[in-house]
Amino acid sequence: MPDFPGLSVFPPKGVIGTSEPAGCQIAQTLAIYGQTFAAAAWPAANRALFYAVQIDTPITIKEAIIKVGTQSGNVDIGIYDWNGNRIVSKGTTAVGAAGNQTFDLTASVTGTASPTLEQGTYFMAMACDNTTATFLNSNVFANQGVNACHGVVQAATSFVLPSSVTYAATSSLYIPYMLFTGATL
Amino acid sequence: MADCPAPPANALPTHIGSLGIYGIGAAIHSILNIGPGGAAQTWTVANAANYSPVVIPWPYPVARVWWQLGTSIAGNSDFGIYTTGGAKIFSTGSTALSGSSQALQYVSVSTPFILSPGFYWFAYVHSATTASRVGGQSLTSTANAQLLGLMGQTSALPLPASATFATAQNSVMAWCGITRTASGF
Repeated sequence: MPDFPGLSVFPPKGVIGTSEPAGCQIAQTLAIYGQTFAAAAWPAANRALFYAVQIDTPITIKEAIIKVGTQSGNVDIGIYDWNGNRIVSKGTTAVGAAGNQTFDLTASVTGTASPTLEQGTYFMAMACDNTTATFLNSNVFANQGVNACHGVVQAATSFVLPSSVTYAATSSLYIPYMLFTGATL
Repeated sequence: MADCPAPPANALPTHIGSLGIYGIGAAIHSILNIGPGGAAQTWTVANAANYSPVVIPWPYPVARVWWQLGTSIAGNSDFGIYTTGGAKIFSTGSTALSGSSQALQYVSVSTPFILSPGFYWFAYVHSATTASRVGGQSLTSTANAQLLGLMGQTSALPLPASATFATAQNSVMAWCGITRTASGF
């Protein structure tokens, strides 16, 4: 009998993100339950949150995008490997005005610019230095246990995103909208 | 000619759960318009197990199993994996609940094993009908449990070596499942 095809029931699209079911565990459950995103405050100052994504087909990352609700303080976004080592991060960036905020990951980054993610599990990371800023978010799960069984972890005192982290069990329900793409948005 | 080969273990989801995409998650939302669950629930019939269908699309290495706790941490639970024919592959045995409210409780597998691609039952049972012991999803009725394909068995703590499938007695299903991770989350 032939092997089951591929990795995901959702075919890869050349993007990864917290609302993209192809590879992102939490996005898969959000999709099947039909959940939506709305602006909410970052849960804890200087906390970094990490969301597991499985890469089946190599993807090169050039840009990221989030959506700001309330502008305040600074934000950082990046990608980490399974062991908590940073692959790339943008560095401290002022939270933009309400609306889309993009991050150029081809230059002026810490780590590897335009990294190519090979087959494996990675973590999409976001950190913010205050709890006034709001971002497009889904905290639809009732508690942190459901986040944990979808590959969500966190690290305290991790703004700016550090070169390496020790992942800890998440105490957060927060799922910010993040999209990483190989295109220029 | 074989289909695409299975991905390596490091590109597999960190967790596979009863109420997620590989379990009954999509059906719960489609049919009942509820979910995604994780709130503290009351196991409606003490010592009666629910068997919930799950698909494993690729060889999956099992290092630990888990269930989500409710807000009342007491009593005993048992989690098991069964073949479609009802043969038990693994179970934790009757295990005292412990840990933080609504977090995941993990039980390590003494000898990690690989589940072959295919269909399985995830079984869960709790010892009492005390409120808020179980993290999961109310299915609102045993008729709905039946509609979602769940089976049941009374007097099933600890879980039996061979399942005797009968009508589901519990109108709740716990978030429970397997993980390839030996630690973390």
